[in-house]
Amino acid sequence: MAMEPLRVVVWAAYPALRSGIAGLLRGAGLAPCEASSLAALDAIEPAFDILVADVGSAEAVLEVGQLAEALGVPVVFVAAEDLAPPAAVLASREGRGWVWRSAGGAELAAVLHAVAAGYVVMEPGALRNPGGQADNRREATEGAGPLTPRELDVLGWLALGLPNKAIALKLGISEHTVKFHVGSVLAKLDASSRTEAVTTAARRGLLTL
Amino acid sequence: MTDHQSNELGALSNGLASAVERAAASTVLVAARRHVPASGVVWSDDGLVVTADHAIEFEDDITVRLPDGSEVTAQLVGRDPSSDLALLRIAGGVPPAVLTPAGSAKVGHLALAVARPSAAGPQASLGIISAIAGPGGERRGRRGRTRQPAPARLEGYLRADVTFFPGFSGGPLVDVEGRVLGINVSLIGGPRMFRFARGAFGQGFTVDAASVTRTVELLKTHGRVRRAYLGVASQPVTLAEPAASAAGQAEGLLIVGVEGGTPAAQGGLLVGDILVGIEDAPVRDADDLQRALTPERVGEAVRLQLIRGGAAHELSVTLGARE
Repeated sequence: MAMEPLRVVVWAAYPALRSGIAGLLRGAGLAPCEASSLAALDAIEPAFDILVADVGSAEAVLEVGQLAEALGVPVVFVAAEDLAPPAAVLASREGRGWVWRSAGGAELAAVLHAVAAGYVVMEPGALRNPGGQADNRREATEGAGPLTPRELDVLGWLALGLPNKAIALKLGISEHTVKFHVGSVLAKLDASSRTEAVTTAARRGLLTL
Repeated sequence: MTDHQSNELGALSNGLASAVERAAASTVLVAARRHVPASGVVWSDDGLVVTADHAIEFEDDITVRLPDGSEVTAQLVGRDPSSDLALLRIAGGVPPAVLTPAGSAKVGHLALAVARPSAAGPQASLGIISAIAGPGGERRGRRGRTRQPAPARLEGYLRADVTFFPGFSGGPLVDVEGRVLGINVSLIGGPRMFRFARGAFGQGFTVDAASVTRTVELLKTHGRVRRAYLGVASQPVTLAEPAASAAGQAEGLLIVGVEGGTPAAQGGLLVGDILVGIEDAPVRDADDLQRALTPERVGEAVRLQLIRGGAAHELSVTLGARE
């Protein structure tokens, strides 16, 4: 997308997470460099285009956000799934991204390019309440974790409108197990019905459209 | 009050009561979830009953209470979570609902929500049609461009300021003759113009009768609604200049995944593209995209409006169906 290769710096509090994110980005054709501490960021030469920061707490988000602002670089937060973006991040009008740790390399790279262009990319869950009014119920339940591969399978068939019996046949599992998975999908998506689960999943990018 | 005025009010009141009575003759109670049952509408004389998909919690042992008070079992014919409609079959013999002629509903018309949430008899609430969206109803050209108006979706919706009491899901919205304007469903996934009003008048809106009939036909024939499929995973994105001007809108969908072998892959859509329109109807979020992918568009070539590398770009993609 960009004419020149994007100069990306990855920061995470733990080396394994840092290397993990950097590895994902290399797999997607980028050449990130890793920062071992936030203090080291302004010493990085030459200047970089975008910061990717793994964050596990609201305090970390604020710290990284302030630093990025001071350095004048856009930032993409790779957040723990139970973390809700603070109001300051939601209010930001340009050059901010928020993805979950479950994001893949291609997704992360696409978000990086968009954010480097000045766009704002937010997990739809994070955009539910622009202005930062926390919806505690959502925050609490989104912490229920990502869907398992099996649950994603079930979600796909559910989106097609297949009843449990038909899903069981397709996946070669018992109807009872399908019911169990459907219940789990609904709980993780904080949905009260299949309709809501499908809509929420589409909004959150869990279902391809 | 003069006698004349009192007569007119009495006539109006009686008219509304007969409308409810007529509609109630085809409105049934659907028990397929814990706690509050839902309502349903007998759609054909061979016993097809339309209800709200979100009210189907268990698929076996569904019982339907008929207007005469008798209770029968119902089979699930099919469900379509995207439009929040489900189709059941009971033994025939209950008169099907009479539908309003297509296109006759106008904003401002009186409308009644009718339901059968309990064995005690029908219930109703009164309002007016507050908004109509759908084919021809919600056309949004994009700023700064002259273009042929294109419908954003082929499904039609109504919103009325009626109260949806518990158990009103799946029941009909009717006109003053008791003819069915549409089926009352959950607001989740509703048109953008309705979503922002969430909580203002209950939590529901109405799928119009013509769209319900189309969905009924698809569910009856295939057991499900095959919707058009592109094959992308996406994230909403807020654009900055100059892309926002190029797109004529401030939001779009960042493509973060393209599934191999899908219409998106075959059509040349790339990860990093930003989808901003389909056939010139704006796409601002996943809901817009989902609604643009109507069953009617399976196999159809559509033009996708994109931002690629910061500039406007167009691709033609032949939509498929998710199998």
